[in-house]
Amino acid sequence: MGIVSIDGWTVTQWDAIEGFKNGLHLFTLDELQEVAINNTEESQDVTGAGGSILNSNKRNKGCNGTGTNGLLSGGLMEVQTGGKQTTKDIVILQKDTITVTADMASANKVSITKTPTGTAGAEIQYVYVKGATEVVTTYQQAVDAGEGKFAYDNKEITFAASAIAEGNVVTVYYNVKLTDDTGVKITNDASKYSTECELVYTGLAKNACGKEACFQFSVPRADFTGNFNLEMGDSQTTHSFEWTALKNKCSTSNNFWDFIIFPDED
Amino acid sequence: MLKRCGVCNKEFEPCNQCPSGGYAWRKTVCCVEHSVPFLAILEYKRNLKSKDEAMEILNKYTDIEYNDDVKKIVDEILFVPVAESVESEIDEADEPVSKPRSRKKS
Ligand SMILES: [Zn+2]
Repeated sequence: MGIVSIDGWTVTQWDAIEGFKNGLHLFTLDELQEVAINNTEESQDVTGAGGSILNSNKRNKGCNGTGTNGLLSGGLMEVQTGGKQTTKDIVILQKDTITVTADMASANKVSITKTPTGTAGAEIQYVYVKGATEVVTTYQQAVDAGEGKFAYDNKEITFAASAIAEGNVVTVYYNVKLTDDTGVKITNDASKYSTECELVYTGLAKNACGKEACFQFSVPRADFTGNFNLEMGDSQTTHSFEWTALKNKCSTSNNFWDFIIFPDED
Repeated sequence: MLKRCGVCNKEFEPCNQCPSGGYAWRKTVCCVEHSVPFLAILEYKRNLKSKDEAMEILNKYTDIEYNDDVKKIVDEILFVPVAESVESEIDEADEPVSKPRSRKKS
């Protein structure tokens, strides 16, 4: 038997939110932790003698949604920041902590683990050496090693004679360029803003008789805000979002959204 | 923190954020002009440039007062053994291109 009324149904499960831009799939949020869809309308009473309400003027109808996904979503971040994900030309910060051995001390050299990228002569700008007294000495990169200076070449840092001793701890920060397609980056560009997309919420509903059905809540124009938090607390980092429904002006209808309950049958 | 120029004795405010079109000289030297001898000295030190190649560049910057960090390397680049300099003067008439000459040391 078909479903002919929304009455008596309750949403039992929010499965996912799918995001699209002109048919192109942008993201799936399927670890939803919190979901809210808020509908608003303002009304102003039209009053008569003695303040009795004769009518009401209704305006500023709106709809917005908020939620949190348990996993990060790159596609959602693109919509929220106006940015684009890339797997090319990614530079990361590398930190090496090296405990100086007797061999390193006698050679006045320590080796770093990766190949730094950056301006020649400033690939590693400073290194920090913690001595036996816990005092940290800062060394600056120079063409040649000397007082307070170290030289760098081919993954090797050279200090002046006797500058480092066995047991010292050398800390080095430098940038490393990742091999393309081994990492992913999204940039939040100050000159770009959040965008809108089409949203479809999917899930399950149940009626008073225990019959199960699917539901879809679709928003043709969900305008995302750039307000979102990447939060870490007792549990994992979560990804929050918020959007406001825009009137669908291109369509003959002015829908903010459609809510559909249907049986999962072909 | 101020940095001493990688070439001369001048101190400058380094900048990591300056546009990196070309060589980001604000990380290493006090002025864009000093980036050329700086890279010549650095590449010589890293065996990426020969002594002659580095000398040819440094000979164009005769008025720089090099700092103690690089003075030794600069002297090494500009050093011409006596025998070689005499020989080059003799050969000069026959050679279409003359060898780079050592600058006058200050
Ligand atoms: Zn300078």
